[in-house]
Amino acid sequence: METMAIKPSKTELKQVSETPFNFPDRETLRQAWNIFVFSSIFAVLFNAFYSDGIELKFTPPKPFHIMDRLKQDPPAVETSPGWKTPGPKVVHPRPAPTLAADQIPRVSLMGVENRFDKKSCVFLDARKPEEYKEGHIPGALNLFANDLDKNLPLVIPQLPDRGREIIAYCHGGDCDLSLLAAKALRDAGYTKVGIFDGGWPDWKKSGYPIAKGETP
Amino acid sequence: MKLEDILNDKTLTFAGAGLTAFWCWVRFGQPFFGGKNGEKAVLTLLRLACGLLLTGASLDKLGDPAHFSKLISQCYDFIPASLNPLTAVVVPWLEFFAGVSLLLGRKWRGAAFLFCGLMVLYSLAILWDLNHGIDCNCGCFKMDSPEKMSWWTLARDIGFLAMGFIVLVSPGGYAALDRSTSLNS
Repeated sequence: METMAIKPSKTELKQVSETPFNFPDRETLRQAWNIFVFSSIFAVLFNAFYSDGIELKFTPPKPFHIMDRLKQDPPAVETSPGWKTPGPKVVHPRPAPTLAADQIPRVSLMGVENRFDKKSCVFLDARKPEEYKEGHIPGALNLFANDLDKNLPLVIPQLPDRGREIIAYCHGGDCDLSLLAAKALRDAGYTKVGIFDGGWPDWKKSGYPIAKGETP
Repeated sequence: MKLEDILNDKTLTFAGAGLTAFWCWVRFGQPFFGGKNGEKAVLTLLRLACGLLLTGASLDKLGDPAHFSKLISQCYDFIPASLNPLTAVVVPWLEFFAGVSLLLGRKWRGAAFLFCGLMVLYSLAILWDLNHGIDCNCGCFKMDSPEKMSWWTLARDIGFLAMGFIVLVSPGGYAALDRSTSLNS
């Protein structure tokens, strides 16, 4: 009986641990952390062996990109509606040659709609053929920019006029496909190549018509 | 009727809100079914509801990380692109295991903490999207559901958060595997 008095019994211990409003205690955080670590490891392993798993690529941001952003270029000037010409170029020393993103004009959604209505340019869908099949801007040609060697020779015969304006687009945001396609076309001798910044998501939201299938 | 149909239904939210209100009444109001036991029953139901919610929400995303990754890049684009695949793979499994923990009552308090954390993150994400006018399917329960994100979705998530919080700070209910939460009286 005396030992019982000194040492708390199991029931007493339980009652202590059942006291409400004991948050945030260490035990809760430890449990949550355990579940988090367990599910993360399980998820990554499962994904590695799962047939429909996706590629887990993690690219840490490069420090000199941040430095480039600090030294901002002068704002782009809108010369005609929707067509932005980059302002005077400030040369920053760069450690490695990167895609010359600044030199390809960007076109806003308004500018794209304007051109679509007037049929004054050719659209170029730089996404995968499957995505192109699911939906694209009516009349757009497909040039999947991850496979330029194969696709570029197929597209160039369809664009005989090198002076015609070509607007490339992809998923919008920070997708590089349209940039790659535009750069390849410019290198192939096309003089008026632009990029539709908003890309497919913006077009879909705009309510303009969408074409489906493999043909433009 | 599929599990998602029931979970996606507004009835579940009303049930959760009802249970929450009932808990408040039992806790701060008059005793019911002999006081504490009634409270424990409600807490058990709340815990199971939270577990069912999380598990049900994860099921559709577990099998198709590519689709979920696409949905994240379209609708929740404040998540940096470098973290996108990792999020698409880890979050559904986190939901799943936290949900199973809540259902089984094993490490349920930690799981309830995760539930609250996830709900806070989801609410912030929805708020961000609503503020930026991103018209998107929220992908909360089913990625292809036609339900668009709205203030109702946000209110629902905050309701879920309230449920999870009550479970988190509660002393626990019946039918839990954890020793510290088993019924001993």
